[in-house]
Amino acid sequence: MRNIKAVFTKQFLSYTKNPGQWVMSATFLLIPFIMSMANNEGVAIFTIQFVIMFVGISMIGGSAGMILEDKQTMNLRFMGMAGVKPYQYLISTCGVLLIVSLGVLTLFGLIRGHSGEILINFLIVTMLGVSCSILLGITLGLSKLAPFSWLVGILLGVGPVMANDFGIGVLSQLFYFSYTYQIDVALRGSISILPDVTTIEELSSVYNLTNMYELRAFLRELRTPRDLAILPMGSIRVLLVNMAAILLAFVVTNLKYGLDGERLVKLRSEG
Amino acid sequence: MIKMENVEKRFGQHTVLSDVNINVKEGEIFGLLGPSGAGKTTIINILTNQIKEDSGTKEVKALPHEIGIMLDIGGLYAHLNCLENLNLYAGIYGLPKSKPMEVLENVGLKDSAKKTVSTLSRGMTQRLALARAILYEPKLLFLDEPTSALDPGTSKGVCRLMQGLREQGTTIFLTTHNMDEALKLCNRIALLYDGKIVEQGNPVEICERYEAVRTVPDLETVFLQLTGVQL
Repeated sequence: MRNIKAVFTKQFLSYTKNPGQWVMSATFLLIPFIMSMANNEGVAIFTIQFVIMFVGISMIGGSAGMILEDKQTMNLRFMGMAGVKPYQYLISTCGVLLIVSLGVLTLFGLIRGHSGEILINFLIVTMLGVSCSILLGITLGLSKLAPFSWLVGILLGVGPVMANDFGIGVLSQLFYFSYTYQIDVALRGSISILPDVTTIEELSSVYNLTNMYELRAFLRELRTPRDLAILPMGSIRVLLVNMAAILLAFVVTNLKYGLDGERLVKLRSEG
Repeated sequence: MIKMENVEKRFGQHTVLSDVNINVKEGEIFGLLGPSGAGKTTIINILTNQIKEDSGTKEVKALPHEIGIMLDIGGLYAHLNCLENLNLYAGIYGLPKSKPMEVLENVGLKDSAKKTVSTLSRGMTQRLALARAILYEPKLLFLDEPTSALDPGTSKGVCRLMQGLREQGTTIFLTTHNMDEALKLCNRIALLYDGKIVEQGNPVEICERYEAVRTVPDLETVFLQLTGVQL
């Protein structure tokens, strides 16, 4: 617990004191907020675009950046030598990112005018996306592809928006299996733009496919014990916990709205 | 405390270390001297398990959490202040809250405790890196050129600090270019050139062996005699 507290405090300070980390999140939040005051009708779609960009760009880049900094400053190794267990490090790091994103997404939800159950649904869907982004960001941060994390974030954050808002069919096909596209579709469904939204099973399978991809990446990390020897096993543990959480969220949602998602679609249409 | 026997390391086709034998006793300051590219940092990296030797054996009689490492200015977060950087490890090691400030005072950074690392001079950053490495009073301390960016006054202060640590029983393994520093500080030294240990022992005895004692022992002359190049 002592280690988690120490690393959590440091990661929180790192996030809040590093303008590169929070300025983008603040910007994504600020623009829809200003728009919400100017144009109430368009703000719903506009907010979704920024939510997707936040989930994709800010969270992938942010988590990769955090890991990369610890790796480059050699603190990852020093922390490991000091007795910080992999799961303690990852719980602390992911904890900070999840708390920050929960705060930002709640504000996004409020800007969209959500409250109560709708707000909770909005947070479930978007936080699942955030958890995928964090895992993807951590994977990239650990790998040699770390410098490309912002590019991956931009692709996943902007691609679905372009596909849906500009009606670019090729992009839709390309991004259909990305979790950000699925969130985009799910969120649009909730405001009746696309009533024939993807079903919960589809969403679930896409999330789990993403996680399987990340699991594969972590397994590959295991083969390079020289660097970051402390992380792989912990990453897998956290990943499994994350997958369990995702599964639980979908089970709860399925029980509530029905396995085929019909009731959810209906609720969205009504909403 | 540290034992390396016939250690070899290659990066691709290039042999960085060959037949390295080092024996460091508990409680002593051991200096590894050599020019840039001689393989000093590679030896520290092998001893701290950051890279693996290709052949030979090594033994370090200290648990990972009992080892302190200062590699250049590594281990510091540029956007956090000095105190926040040390608080991370104070928290992990469960040290009293006053300890980071105490250590900052020891390295002469008490007044800069709230300064962000990115605003510190090179010398101050190096002192902070040293503070981070000694914060939890490690049993074994690896210092990679701890005084390379320091002015003479601060450098003397750091040397006094190292002597103090030795008196407390800390074993120190340091690399340096500074021959005077090695003469004054180290119980024993090894001269490294082109990945090979060319001489090893007590610094004053080495100087006497190579008749490099004129008015004061002169390790520069020893190195020049052994390798034909100046440090």
